[in-house]
Amino acid sequence: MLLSLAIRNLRRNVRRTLLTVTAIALGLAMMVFVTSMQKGTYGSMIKSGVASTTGHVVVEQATYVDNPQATEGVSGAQAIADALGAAIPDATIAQRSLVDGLLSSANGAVGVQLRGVQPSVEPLVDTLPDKLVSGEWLQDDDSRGVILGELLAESLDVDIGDRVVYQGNHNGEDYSELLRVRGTFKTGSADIDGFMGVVPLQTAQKLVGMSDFANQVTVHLPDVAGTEAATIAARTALGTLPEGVVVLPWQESMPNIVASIEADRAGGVLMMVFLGLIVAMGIVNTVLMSVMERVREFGVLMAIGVRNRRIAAMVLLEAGVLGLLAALLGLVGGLLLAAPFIVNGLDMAALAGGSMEMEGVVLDSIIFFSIDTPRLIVLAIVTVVVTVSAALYPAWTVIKLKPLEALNSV
Amino acid sequence: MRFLASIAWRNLWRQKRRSLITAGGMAVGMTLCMALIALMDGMFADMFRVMVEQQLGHVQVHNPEYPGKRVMYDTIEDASAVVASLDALDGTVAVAPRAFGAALLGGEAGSTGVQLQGIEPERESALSSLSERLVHGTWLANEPDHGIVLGYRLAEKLHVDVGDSLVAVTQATDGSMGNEIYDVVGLIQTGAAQLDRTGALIHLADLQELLLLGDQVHEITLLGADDSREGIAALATDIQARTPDALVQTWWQTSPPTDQMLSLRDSVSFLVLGAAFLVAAFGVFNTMMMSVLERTRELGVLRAIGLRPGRLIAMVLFESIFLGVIATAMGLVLGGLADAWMVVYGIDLSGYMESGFAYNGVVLEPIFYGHVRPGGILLTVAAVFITSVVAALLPAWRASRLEPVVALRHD
Amino acid sequence: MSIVSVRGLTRDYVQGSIVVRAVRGVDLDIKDGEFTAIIGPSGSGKTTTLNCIGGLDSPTSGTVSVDGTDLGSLSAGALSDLRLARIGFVFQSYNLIPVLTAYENAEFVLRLQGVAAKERRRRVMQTLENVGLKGMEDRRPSELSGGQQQRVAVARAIAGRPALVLADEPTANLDSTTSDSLIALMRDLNDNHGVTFVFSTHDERVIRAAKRVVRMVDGEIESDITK
Repeated sequence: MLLSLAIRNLRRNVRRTLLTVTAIALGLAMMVFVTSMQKGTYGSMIKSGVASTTGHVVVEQATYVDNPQATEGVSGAQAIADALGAAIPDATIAQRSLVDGLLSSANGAVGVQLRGVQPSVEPLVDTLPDKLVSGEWLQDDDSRGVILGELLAESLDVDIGDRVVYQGNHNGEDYSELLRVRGTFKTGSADIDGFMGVVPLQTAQKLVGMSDFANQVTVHLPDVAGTEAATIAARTALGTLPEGVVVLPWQESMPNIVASIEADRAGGVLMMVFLGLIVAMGIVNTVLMSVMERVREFGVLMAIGVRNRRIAAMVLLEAGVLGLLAALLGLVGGLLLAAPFIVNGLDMAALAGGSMEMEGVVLDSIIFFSIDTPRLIVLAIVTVVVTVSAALYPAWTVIKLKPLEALNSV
Repeated sequence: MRFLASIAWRNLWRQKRRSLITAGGMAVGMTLCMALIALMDGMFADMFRVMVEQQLGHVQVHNPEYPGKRVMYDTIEDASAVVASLDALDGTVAVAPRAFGAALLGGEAGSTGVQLQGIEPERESALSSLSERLVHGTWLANEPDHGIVLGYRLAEKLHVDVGDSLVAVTQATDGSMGNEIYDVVGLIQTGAAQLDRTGALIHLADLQELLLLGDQVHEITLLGADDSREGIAALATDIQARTPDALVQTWWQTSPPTDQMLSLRDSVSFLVLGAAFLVAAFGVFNTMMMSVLERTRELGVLRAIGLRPGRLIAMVLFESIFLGVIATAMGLVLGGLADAWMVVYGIDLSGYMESGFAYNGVVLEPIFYGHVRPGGILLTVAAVFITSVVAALLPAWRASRLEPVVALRHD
Repeated sequence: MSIVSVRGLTRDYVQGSIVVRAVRGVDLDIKDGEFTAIIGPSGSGKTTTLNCIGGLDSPTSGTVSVDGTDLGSLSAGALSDLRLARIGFVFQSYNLIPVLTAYENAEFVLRLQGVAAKERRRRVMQTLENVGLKGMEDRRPSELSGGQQQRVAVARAIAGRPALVLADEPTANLDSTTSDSLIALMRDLNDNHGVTFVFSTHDERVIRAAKRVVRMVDGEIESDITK
């Protein structure tokens, strides 16, 4: 009975109800939009990070996360990669190394980081091979080949086919190696394009004086959801590992990216609290107005024997219905707003005037929004809760009403 | 008009609670915006500090071939003379020559490629805030003594600290391989990811000696007395006149991405303001509409006694603007408190991340501090008043359209 | 036995710094089956007395008992329940719930009382027929004339089978023909269905129809005549 009365009361002032619902829904729609963008951005950050650094699951030295040294890694990398490939059949297994050193040409020298990858595997797992702007990707048997960042090639003033010399010192030994430029790439990040090169893994091994060695053996899954299962499978398959070597899921091997996601999420929650407050003030007002208008009516209800609490409950119920409507409208509206970006993506690079780089990981310039279902459910519930909470004060004024005063009010 | 305003003011207080709650809604919106804008300005101030104050200065002078490629042969010759002539220029506060070179820097634990930056310590600390970013040890001595200051992450990587020695190996301008021993005197944490990871500062003379550069440098950076864009642009023109062969650029010409990033600030501010006040506007609209509708009869009387529709509109708008005034007063207090909190305590994300976080080459610290700009606050106040007026337009128009007879009959 | 027993009822109102004594020591008993009019000039205290009997207002001193229960001893909630079960109200300005139809307005009290749906329907239809509103069940208050609205109000007041219906100036807003038929209706309900009515009124027609007339002046009972 209270419910039907509440619904009829809302229909009594359709414009006010619609306005209030729209205002709440607008707030919710914004949050839905922001949440979808965040989810998409996080997905992209994780995807880019996973693809270009640690994979979904990585086998590496425990100390490598905090202090990446070219000589710290996994010996017998090939055997480990084979074991992982057998244990997780739908995954692609890559071996990677990072080697620091000085790259010089006749025109100068630059301190660089060389990424050692398996030329035939890397195109399957990372987008860097797609970002070549000149020349060709490396061949497996091309131990002299190097791909340079576009800015790096400019600094060294070298072209395809030119020679560059690598020099480095690892574990007290000097290494130097002659390499030939096979191509250049451009990611859009000055730090990466200016100071990064790519060499075949075997070359990277030679540059630190080791064989069958990689800093990381990375497992790339078709779907991020399989990470946990793959981690367990990897641990089981590898059994006892050499001392210091660990199997880590991406959450642990990219703590900075995970942390920045957490921090950004916290920012989102803060935004939600503020928007919720603004919306709540609006609701308090509308509900209060509709209560004030009906004080006399409430007086009649009291006179015929309805307890104040039930009238207050009706007011809360009205707010609840308002909240439900708004939640529905807000979810639909927000998703409609986000839909074009879910389908076509949002070109962040165009907005920010260049590629976005985080912790050395270049993000895809096009961010595809993604629906964060659990978050949306939380948001919808929060909407109803906020709406009902905002009606608490008006409902409280109803509880305090005296029947005679209410009857006599204008 | 004054009379109308006075009626509007009194009308506002007839529904005290409603007016205060509506104003409160806008005040919360203001608080949100002021806090967010302060936070963003804080981040942008960090970026400005890292990019402009530490590296770019106001105006940079290069060999026209040098920017972009950064090949070490493309130098400014007779640097001492050029610097001296720029020193004499009116309106310059600091002039600092720099040279750059890559080297393999090695200690006992290993080696890595670094960017050596040759500076004149005294001039550099007058120009940039780099010397204030020391976290350990001391700044370079004024006279060349083979001291070296390292980015703190580079030092971590090389496992060295103040007092340790390092060997730098590099290719000199004559093609020969040179090497030299340097003593670590200090560590810096600059917030520039690249500088912290691979940066090493030595005395300009030491670098010129290592690279066999003679009296050549790669870059001369200047700071002007007037830091407005106009002032900087004017300074650049003066400098160009003295160095006709060199490429003279303001910092926003040297680094368009930095400029673009900073200009993002305003777009993001507008976005936040738009979102918050769109929601707040509904509250104002609701209140003003209610206020007009419940006074239909009264407004009819005003029309009947001869108040013109335009004045009725003015009266309703006054009411809404006064609402904005109250909201501004409340919002400035609340938002001021929020801003103060942001400036003093900041938002501490160290629970989420231990160390800073590199974003587009700038390391953001785990505690975000706010930075308050009068412009940001003005923008917020403007948003309040625009909202007040816009949200009241329809109710005001509606009030003006009342037929006196119909309105009077209204119960 | 008395349904209502009022003893030494006094009610003061504070208006600014002045204390107005609206009712001064009224004693009154209402018995089952009465059709009583409380009359008197404006400000004589009749409405206040009625409100105190209905538990809408509380005495400054003195007691009001309904069915032997002292209203002063009841909480606000218990007062609500007492009104729901034992007292019906008819107001001068109808005071129907605007969003409910005639049928639903009359049914409302029964729903609150927890009467089963089937029984509710039977009683509401019967009651509406009794007040002469057959066929108008689905109209909203805004679609009814003043007289019809007041009939719905009467239906609402009696549908819950109260011991007592309190009517405060029920005919004040109605024209004479409508008033006459409403009075006839209430008298009929009193005669044939045993509903007890207490009115406060100025209306000569109501006074003529009343079986007992209590006249109040300046907050005191001046005369109490049973015809």
